[in-house]
Amino acid sequence: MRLLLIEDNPRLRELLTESVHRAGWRIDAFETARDGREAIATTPFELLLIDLGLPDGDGLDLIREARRNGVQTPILALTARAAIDERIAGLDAGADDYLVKPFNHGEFLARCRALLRRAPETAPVVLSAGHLRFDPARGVLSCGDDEIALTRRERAIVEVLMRDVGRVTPKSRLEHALSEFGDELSTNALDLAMSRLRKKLDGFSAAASIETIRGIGYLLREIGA
Amino acid sequence: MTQAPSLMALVVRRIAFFAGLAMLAQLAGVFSKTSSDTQNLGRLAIEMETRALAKGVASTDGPLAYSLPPDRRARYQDAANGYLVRVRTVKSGALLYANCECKTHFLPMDVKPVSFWMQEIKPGRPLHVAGGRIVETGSEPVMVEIAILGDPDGVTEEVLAHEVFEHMALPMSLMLIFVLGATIFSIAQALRPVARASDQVARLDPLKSPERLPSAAMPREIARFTQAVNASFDRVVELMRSQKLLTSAISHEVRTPLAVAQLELEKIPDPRARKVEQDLGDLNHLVEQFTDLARLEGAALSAKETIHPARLAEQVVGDLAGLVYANGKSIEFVDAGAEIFEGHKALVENALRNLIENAARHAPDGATIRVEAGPGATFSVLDDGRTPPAPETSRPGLGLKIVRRIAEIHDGRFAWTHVPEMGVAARLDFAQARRTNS
Repeated sequence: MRLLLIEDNPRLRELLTESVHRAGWRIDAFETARDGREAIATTPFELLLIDLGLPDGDGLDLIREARRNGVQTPILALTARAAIDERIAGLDAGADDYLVKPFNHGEFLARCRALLRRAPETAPVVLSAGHLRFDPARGVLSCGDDEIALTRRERAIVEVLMRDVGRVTPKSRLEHALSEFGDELSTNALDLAMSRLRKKLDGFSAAASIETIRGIGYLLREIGA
Repeated sequence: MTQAPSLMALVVRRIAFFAGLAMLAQLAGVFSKTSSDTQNLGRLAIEMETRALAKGVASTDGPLAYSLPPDRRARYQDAANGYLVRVRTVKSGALLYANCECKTHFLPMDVKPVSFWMQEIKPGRPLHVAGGRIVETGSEPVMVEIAILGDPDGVTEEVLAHEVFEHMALPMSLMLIFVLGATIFSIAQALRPVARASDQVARLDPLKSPERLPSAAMPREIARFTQAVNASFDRVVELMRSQKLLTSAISHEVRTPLAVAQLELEKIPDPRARKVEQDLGDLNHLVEQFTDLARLEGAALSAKETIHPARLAEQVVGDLAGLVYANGKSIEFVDAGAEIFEGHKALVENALRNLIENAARHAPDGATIRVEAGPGATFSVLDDGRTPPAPETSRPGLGLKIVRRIAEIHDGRFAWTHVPEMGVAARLDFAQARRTNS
């Protein structure tokens, strides 16, 4: 897995490089938009990490330019601009996600993992949340060396939740995923399936938990991330 | 606030007022000229009365007959009233009607009738005149002669009223109708581009679009005003750009070192590093709130849009659920009958985020934060056990100041309210924004 980082602060560049190396990925780090632009044009990457406030230009322009040139690689914008309209501007320019400074290693790596799952070159991947791993191709959920036996419905729920880890998944999306089996979905079928899944996970030190966000849906969150 | 009258109403009212004044002035002129000239007044009285009396001639197949018309009967039935009348045919001179012997003031019967005659019996007022004229009837003309002796029944006033109506009120009213019609038409034409421009103002977002109000086809004075408004828009945009640049620069200069410090601290296992991490988190929150506060007024200049409170709250709850659980609390969302309103979406979202983050920070561990959208254009953030900050004893934090200001920008209200069996709710009410735009 090869990542590109464009960040003008040398210390932050070093720290993020360390973080990425610890995750087992490779990274090319640059200070300026010009160097980054050249690297994007000449080297294939799986993920671009772009700071928006660069000394020789705005990172937003760089993102727009990359998208205009047909670059499909997922982009994570790293920025100090936290206002809602600025986040919207970042996403509109073509970034896939937005990480506001300051952030911790766990959050940074979680966002990177989430975007790498979407990268066409890296799909299909094994999805992860805490100590849980799910292989969508085989439909197998494991925690450490232990395999967790799941029903067909539970497998569908786990896949949707693990693709959304750290974000709330609306109930309607899960219901839709379950209805794809052609089953007649009773009102509380999802709640029952979720309850059974929670009980199964309770027996393992998953470092992840499924929370109910009443009125909206469910949140799979990594504990200690 | 009482509503100011429209330009149209103002102009119509002014025209009607000055036309009324002009009519009064002319009335005074006509009245003074006619009433001082008793010769003319007498002539007009004779013309008016003979015309009215001639209506009493009956033109049947036989000889002409006469009876006093109903509107003149009371005045002329008795000569003692001071009004004499004699009606005779012109051809044969036959007497048709007389209320007197009529030897004193009228022409002798053997004198051939003339088309008009008049004699002032006594000059000045009250009127003492005699006279007559030939009036055409259906079959043959008749000579109607009258004498007014002292005018106790007010023929003079009737003549004056008739003159005023005939020569002043009628033509001036017609002129007034034409002037008003032309004025209303001209104003409506001139204001049409202004109305179009004012519709556009509400949609104009000076920060997002270079588009400005069009001044083409506007009257010169209004076009000048529109250009001044556009220039003011430009100045605001410049100001907001500088402010945005400044807050972005401050934000960048502070947040990047904070990010470095945060990542460095994570490498230190000492528990004191966790405390410093927490302090850094608070410092970052403060920077965020300062920059939010600096941006508020600029964001309020952007165009309003339709806000769906339930959708917005659902999105914000989804965004912040991770943070809430990381803080050891849970969160839920309820749509309590929310209704749309017009507002600044980024600001309303900011206010709601602030309230939820505030609850996530200050509610006791294990508390459930309940976010309600509705009823109507309201948001409530409730949690079990938390008490609102008392303004008398503690200063509200920056976050709540931001929330309060966002409510004010929307003519809305922010308050802490007691909800039975639930505890205390931070409540944002945008009902006024809903009314203003409905």
